[in-house]
Amino acid sequence: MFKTFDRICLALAWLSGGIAAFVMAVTFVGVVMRYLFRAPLMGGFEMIEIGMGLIVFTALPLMVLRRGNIAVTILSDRFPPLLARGATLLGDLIGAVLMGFIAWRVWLQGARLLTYGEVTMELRIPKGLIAQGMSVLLAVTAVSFLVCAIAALRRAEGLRTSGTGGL
Amino acid sequence: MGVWEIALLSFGGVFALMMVGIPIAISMLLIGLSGIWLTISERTAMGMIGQLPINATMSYELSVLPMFILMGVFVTRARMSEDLYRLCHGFVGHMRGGLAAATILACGGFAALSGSSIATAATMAKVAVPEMRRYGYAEGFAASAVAAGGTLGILIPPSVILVLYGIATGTDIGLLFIAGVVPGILAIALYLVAIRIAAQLDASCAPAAPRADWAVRMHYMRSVGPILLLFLAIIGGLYKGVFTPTEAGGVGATGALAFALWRRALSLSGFVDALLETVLTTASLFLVLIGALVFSNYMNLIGLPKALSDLIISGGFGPMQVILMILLIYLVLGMFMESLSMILLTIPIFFPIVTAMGFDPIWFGIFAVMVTELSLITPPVGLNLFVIKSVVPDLSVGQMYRGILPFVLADVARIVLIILFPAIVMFLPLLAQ
Amino acid sequence: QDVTTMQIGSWLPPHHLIVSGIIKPWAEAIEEETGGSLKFEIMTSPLGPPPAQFDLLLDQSFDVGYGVSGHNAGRFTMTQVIDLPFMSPDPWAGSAASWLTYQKFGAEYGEHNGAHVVGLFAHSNPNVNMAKGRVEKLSDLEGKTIRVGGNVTGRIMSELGASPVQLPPTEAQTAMSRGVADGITFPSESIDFFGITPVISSITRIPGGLYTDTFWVAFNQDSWDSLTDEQRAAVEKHSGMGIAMLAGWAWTNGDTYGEAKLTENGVEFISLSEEDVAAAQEKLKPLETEWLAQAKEKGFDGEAILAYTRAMVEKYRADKSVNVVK
Ligand code: NA
Ligand code: NA
Repeated sequence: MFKTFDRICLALAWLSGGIAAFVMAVTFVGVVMRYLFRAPLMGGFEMIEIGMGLIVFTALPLMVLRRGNIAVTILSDRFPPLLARGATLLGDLIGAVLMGFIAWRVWLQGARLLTYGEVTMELRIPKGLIAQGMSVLLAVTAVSFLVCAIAALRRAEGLRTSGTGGL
Repeated sequence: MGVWEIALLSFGGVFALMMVGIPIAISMLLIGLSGIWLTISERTAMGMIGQLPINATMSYELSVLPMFILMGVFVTRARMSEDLYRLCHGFVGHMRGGLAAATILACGGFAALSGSSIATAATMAKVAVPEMRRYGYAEGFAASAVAAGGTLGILIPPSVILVLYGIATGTDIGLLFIAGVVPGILAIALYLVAIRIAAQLDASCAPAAPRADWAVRMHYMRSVGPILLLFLAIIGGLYKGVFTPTEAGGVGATGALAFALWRRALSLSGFVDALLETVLTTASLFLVLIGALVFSNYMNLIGLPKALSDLIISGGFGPMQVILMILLIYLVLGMFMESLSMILLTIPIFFPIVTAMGFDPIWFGIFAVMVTELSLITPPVGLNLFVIKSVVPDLSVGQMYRGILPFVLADVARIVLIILFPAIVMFLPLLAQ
Repeated sequence: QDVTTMQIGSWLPPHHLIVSGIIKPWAEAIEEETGGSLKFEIMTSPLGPPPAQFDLLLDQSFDVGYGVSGHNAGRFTMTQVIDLPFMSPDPWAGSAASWLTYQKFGAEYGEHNGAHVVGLFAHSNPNVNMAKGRVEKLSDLEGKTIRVGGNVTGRIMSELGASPVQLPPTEAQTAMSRGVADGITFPSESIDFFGITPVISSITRIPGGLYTDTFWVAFNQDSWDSLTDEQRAAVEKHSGMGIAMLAGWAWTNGDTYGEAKLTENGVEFISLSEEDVAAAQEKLKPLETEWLAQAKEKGFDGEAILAYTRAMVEKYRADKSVNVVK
């Protein structure tokens, strides 16, 4: 079961990578079109905007699962094993609850946007649908945190956050 | 409880959670959200968290972040860091402290293609540290050179911090990038001076390597040249207005991809891995961004910015006093806080005050980056030091702290210089406008 | 005396004319009217980007908010009647007609449920501001790259033959000052506000007002309900047409100031000829047709609303001749 979930997260992250490549291409083509053909890429602005949102939320589940969260571990690295395990477990559980809560609120915001009929300016995509898509991915992220928590319960090693992140 | 008590308690809470090792984003989300809930209302907290994740991520301008991250990943995968180091080594390696100087120069070159300090430090550490060890450099000194050189990643454009600062404050990101060039060169120069002095004081810590001949130098020049052209194309393009910063990101990533393919250094699976690495980094960055936005909205809602400006007005402080106080706050925060959240949390509070006192937004952006750089190498929480430690695990903390001192002093000297002579920062962007 | 303090959510810098010329004087007038029993505090940092403002207001993140209706495409369609091409000849007429139309029909729209709208206003006429090239005739727009802020202006520009490039305001400045775009559609006030004045060489005015945006000013419904009758009366006295008139003054003054700076820089002002304006109107007719269709779909008599708005515009136009024997 954990294997399947891992695969789902990986597939989502691949999708995220695909969108990143797409955003790169759209940006590049937009510049080329403007200079060579003096015509902008229609809807390019919005494709980048929506793409950006989707890159983040499709990559979140795997990022959490692989413990890629940015954290400061200087003190917790010196904790005795049991305490370190407890702290990790606490972080994972808070993360799961928060992500679940946020997923719920984002879903409701999506429903609200749907009732107002708010759409993106150029491509006229209902904003509510985009929001609810994000909500589903946030729910998957909550599960990722839970899986991490279970791993923390089972064994103490190999569950430290990497501590660096991407700045 | 008044504004100050609530603010202090909340910052303390985030700090405590962070220190226990709870992910920074989660710490800020938890305190920010429950703070809004308790001090403002349940409805505000519930509403804000419903729409903030959507608004914070669906942003045209923020797409520049994954693009520049992607560019850095492609360049790293093109295995040019080693050649870049060899090139600098070939030119300055024979001087006293030359290997450390080569490290700084190579870091500067890599920083011109990567927006991240950590990526710069981590990449260059793998190449430079073994080399310096081979020639008998003092361990702490060698590692510190890489940690300090790594901080150039966010000063020399492109820069993740400058992008986030630009978006948070509405400052022109292109001009911020252009403004980073001269201070970046100044930073390299001051680091070289620091190395020279350190090597003079203790010759055993930094011996010289044999002189390289021109054939070797030219070989590496040919190998690295094209990618440095990419940097010139991006900065030149921004300067001349060929494209906007967001577009520069897309062009830069595409160019780096082409470079990696040209060097035959990228297979299909390598390409997929590069994308995966990029989106995972992006996701962790944005989660911190969302957490920081929730927390700074909380500070905004309890009225901290107003309380702070009231305090400054009632205290009758002048611009120079205010900037020195902010510098002091950053020095203290920078010792303990992680750099990204430090900038994201403080800029919304300081920016209105500083600009109202007449400081230029571009100048303050470079100032903010410099204090962030400093925070990356000051103990006990200096992310670049951790990065080096993960590459060189047997390095003792004491060695590291001694080694980093000359570089910290160089950083402080540079900050003082841009406060005394703002033109160092401003003259290039003023020329571009 | 009990003092009620209301937070005004703001996403613009304090010196922007909307804050300093409309919101602030409006709030001060009410404070004075209530003898200080109702106070306002304008927040100095934004809680979210412009499109988030209305939902932030609904969620009670602040008591009073303002925003641009067009930032939430599809949500305030009926309210935005004045946004149609050539509807608003000047900021007074546009603001007054926008508010009066909303007063007559707005309650049925249901577009602002959960909030209490106290004012609507429009901005001054946008011109075509060129850094490179010169637009004397409509056909001169052909092939020019024009920076626009949203899809409606983008649509207008492409209908008129230009190639629009959509960029956020932070990049608009870069785009203009360093040649990514040849021109930009902005009122003269905004050209100066965003520091674009030095790069502009010529400005083409389009008589009749190519387009405008409908801004809203509203209380959260609960905040509104919490006010006393006297406080509500004081707010109403200075809102509605009061806000519309403030907006008319503020934008006109801003334009005067901006134009003085532009003239000082030797910028050439050109006016589009009557024939060209008529041709542009013809080319932009589809936008009106589409709006009428959307109104119909929502169950409103678009023709009647449009006719009423036009009648109100005529009543309040700034260039109306007075003191003339008919
Ligand atoms: Na960089
Ligand atoms: Na530090």
